[in-house]
Amino acid sequence: MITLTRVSKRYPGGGDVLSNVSLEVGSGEMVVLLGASGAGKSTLLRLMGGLERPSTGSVQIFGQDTSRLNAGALALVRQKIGLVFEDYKLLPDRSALENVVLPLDIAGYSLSEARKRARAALEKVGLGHRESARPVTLSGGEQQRVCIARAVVSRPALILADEPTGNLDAEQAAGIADMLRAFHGVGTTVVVATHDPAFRDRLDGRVLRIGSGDAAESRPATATGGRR
Amino acid sequence: MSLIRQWWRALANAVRALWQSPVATLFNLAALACAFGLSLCAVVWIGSASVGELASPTTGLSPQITVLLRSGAPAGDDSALARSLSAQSGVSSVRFVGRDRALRQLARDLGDDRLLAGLDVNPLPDALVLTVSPHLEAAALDALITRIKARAEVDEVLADRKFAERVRQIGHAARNLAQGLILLLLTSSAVVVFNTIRLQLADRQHEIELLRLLGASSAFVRRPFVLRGILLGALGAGLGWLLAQAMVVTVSGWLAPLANSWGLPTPPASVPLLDGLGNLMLGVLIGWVTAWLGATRHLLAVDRR
Repeated sequence: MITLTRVSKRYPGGGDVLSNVSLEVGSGEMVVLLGASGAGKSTLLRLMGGLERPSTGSVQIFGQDTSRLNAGALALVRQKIGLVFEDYKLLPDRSALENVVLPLDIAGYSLSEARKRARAALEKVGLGHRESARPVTLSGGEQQRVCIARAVVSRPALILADEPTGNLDAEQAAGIADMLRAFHGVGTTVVVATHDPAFRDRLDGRVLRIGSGDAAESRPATATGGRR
Repeated sequence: MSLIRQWWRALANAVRALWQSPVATLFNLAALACAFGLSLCAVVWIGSASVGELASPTTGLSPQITVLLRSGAPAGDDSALARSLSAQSGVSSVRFVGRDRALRQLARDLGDDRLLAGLDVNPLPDALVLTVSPHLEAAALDALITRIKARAEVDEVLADRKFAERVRQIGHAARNLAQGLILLLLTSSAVVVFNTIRLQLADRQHEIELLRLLGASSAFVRRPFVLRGILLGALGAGLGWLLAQAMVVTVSGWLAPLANSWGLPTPPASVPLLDGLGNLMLGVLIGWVTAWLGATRHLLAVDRR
C-alpha cells in the first residue's frame, strides 16, 4: 500500500530530517512509528500521506509515485486517506457534524447523503449525541473522536494518525487506541506515529523505531522495522 | 452532477459569508457602486451624441463663415456669388439671409420690437452664411476666407473658426478625462474586490490549509472565493447602475437645455440598457478575475508553506 525507497527529506536552511529511509506498509496492516519528539515521525507520516514530497528517493502510495503526480492527482490520492492530527484541526466555527461532513463535501456527496454518513461516523465514535456541538464545547478526547470520525467518514483504505493521544489523558488515550484497533479490525490499514510506549502497547501492531533515543539505533532520522 | 452540487454549495457559502459580515459587505458594495456608477455615467455621457458631436471633428459646431454683402450687390440663394461660393472646395452649404429677415431675427433675439421700431432704415446688410467642411485644414480655411474677401460684392467676412476649434478642444479634453476616470474607477473597483477577497482568504487560512490536507483540489478551495468576487462585482455594478440612472436622470434635466442651446443633440435621459448590461458584465468579469488571481496567489503561498 505504501512503499518508501531510500527516502530523504531536507527542509531549506536545515539538515536532513529523514535520511535514506526505506520501508513498506502492506494492505490491512497496523503500523506504529515510535520515536522521540523531533525524530521525524510526523515528516514520515506526511510523506506517507502525500502531504509532502521527498527530497530524494521515492514514495509510492496505492502504487503511485507521489513525485510524479501533479497537484490534482495528489489531491485525489489524499482523498483516499483518513488523517488524524494531534491538534485535531477542527474548524471552530462549525459543529461536530459539519466538521465530519468536510471530506464528503470535497468528494462531491450530496448534502443529505454526507450528513447521513457523518452522523453514522459520529455514532461509531460515540458522539452521536454531540453532533451540533462546536469544538470549543467538547473535551480533548471528544475533539479527537470527532477528528477520527472525520478521518473514517469517507471509508478510507488508509488511516494516518499523528500523535493522536498527544493532548489526552491515559483513559482517553485508551479509548482512542481501541477505536483505531476497531477500524484496523475491519481491514483498514492504520499507521500511527507516537512517542508513547503505553499507547503503542495498546495498538498491538508492527513497530518501526524512528531516530535517536535508542543506542542500538542511534543513526538520526532513520527507520528500521520488525514485528514485535 | 457532483460538480454542480459543489458549485451550488459554494455559492450558498459565498452568500452566507457576505451576509455574515454585513457592515464590511455594505462598505465594500458602496465603494464598488460609486466606482461602477461614476464610470457608467462617464460612459453614458461621452458615448452620447451631444458630447460625441462636441468632441468629434464632424461637430455640429463646424466653422461657419458669414459673408456680409455690399449694399446693392446681387442677392439671393441662386446669385452668381452664392453659386460661386458653393463651388469652392471645403464649402458644404451656402444659405442666403436677407437683411429684412436678419432684422426680424435681431428683434426676436433682443426680445423687444420697440428698440428697432424707431429705425428709419434697416442698417443690416444681406449676407451669405457658409458652412465649411469640418475636415478643412486651418490653412485652407484661411485661404478660402482670403479668396472670399477679395470678391467685389463682399464687404466683410466673419468667421467663428477659432471659437469652434476651442470648443472642440474642450470636448476632446473632456472625453479624454472621462476615459481616464473610467480606467481609474474600474481599477479601484478591482482593488476593492482583490483586497476583500485577500482579507477573507487570510481569515479562512486554517480552513484552507485543512481542506488541502483533506485532499481538496485548488479549484474546490478557490471556488467560494471566486464566487464571492463575482457576487461582489455583480452587486456593486448593479447598485452602480441604479446610482448612474439616478444621476443621469437628475443631470439631464439641466443638461438637455444647455445642449440644445448649443445646437447639440439632446443627451440621454436614462442609462441605455446595453450600457447598463455592459457595466454588469464588467462587474462580474472584474470580480471573477481579481478574486481568481487573489485566491490562486494565496493557494500557491499555502502550498509553498
